[in-house]
Amino acid sequence: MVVVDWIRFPLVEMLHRFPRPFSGYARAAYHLDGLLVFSWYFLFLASCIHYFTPRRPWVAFSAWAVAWAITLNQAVVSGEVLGWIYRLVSLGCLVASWGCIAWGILRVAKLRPGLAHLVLILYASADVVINLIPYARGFSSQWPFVRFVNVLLLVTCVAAHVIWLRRRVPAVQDVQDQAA
Amino acid sequence: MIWEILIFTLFALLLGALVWWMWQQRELARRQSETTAELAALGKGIRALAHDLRLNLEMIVATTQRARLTTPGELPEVLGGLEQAARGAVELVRTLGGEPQAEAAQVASAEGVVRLGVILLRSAGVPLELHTTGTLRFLGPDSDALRVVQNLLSNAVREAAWIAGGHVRIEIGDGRLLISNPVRDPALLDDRIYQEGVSYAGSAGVGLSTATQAAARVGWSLRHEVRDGEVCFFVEERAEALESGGALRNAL
Repeated sequence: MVVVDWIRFPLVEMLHRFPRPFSGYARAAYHLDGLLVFSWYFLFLASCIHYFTPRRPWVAFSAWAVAWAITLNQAVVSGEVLGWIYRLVSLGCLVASWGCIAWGILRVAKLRPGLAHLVLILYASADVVINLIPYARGFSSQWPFVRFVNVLLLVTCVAAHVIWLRRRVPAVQDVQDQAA
Repeated sequence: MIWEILIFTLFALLLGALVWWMWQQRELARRQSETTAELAALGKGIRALAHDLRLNLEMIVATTQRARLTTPGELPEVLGGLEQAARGAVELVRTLGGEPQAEAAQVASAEGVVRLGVILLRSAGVPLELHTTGTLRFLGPDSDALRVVQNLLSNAVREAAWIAGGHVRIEIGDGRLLISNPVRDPALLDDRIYQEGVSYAGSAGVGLSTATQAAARVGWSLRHEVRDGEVCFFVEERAEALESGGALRNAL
């Protein structure tokens, strides 16, 4: 989301200078922006499928393409309708992601819990809060709070990496000491 | 609003981390239990091999003692028995070390197995009756077939030695081997005797358990019947195992 935000920034700034409905390059930029917004949800879902289930994440990519194709009809899908689609997609992907996580934990016997799994579970947990509070009170008006949750999530993930590395380094040193 | 989101987010992150931690603990416990089971299986295998190795070494000792008293005419037979027992011991040590088993057919012949029986019986002073009327076939390593026969014979000899006038009867028929001997208390010989650690004769309770497993590997089944103060062990070919296993080798 952080990376996509940096890409979206010039796009959104540019779109503010064009009148609606968009046409030409502005319309292409508008649809590109939609594609990037959907990437938050569907790439997260694809990651969950990849890490927690034995399946390939083609379902997530297909759903991403279908959702984006629906928004191409700018005349019908814009403004409030587009906001609702984003919200539905967000909720749907969140439920599917938790489904993958539960499946992985309870049903996939060969799965070993690693750092990637921890980070994805933390993302999914933060997404629950985002959907419960800021999105429920207005998808776009509460955007600063969504960013705030993401900052907390980022801090937690950094902390998780630091703890993980501190736990692993002594283990590696022990093995090296034993080998010596 | 900001405090509300802060508290909820921290709570959710904590909950997420807890889910992951519980999952990790469960996996650790599962792996530990798998390792324990593997170690137990390994220990069981080593106990069985040690038991059979002891049998072979006892045979070598008995044969060596007998060689001192034997006449020059009997010496080739005694040395042949010694060689068989030593080969058996080498095979078991190879198995213990995880090495591939040597090409068989040297050990698991009817003559070789009977010779081992004779060595056992002579050292224990129990008469032997051998009748060969057919062929028993098996698949897999010869050493496994030998382990079955060796365990059954040593049990039979040990038990028969307790009874005055006791003798062991071995009969090789078509698709089956019968070993019968008198027993002190036939009522005790139920199906539990095939379980590891169960023994009514004061032994370690490893022999019949090992024999059952080795028999399954070579395509045999093992059962027993008790009648008139005697126990008869039947080693029988399992046709389905032998047919699905490919080429058959005649051995007994």
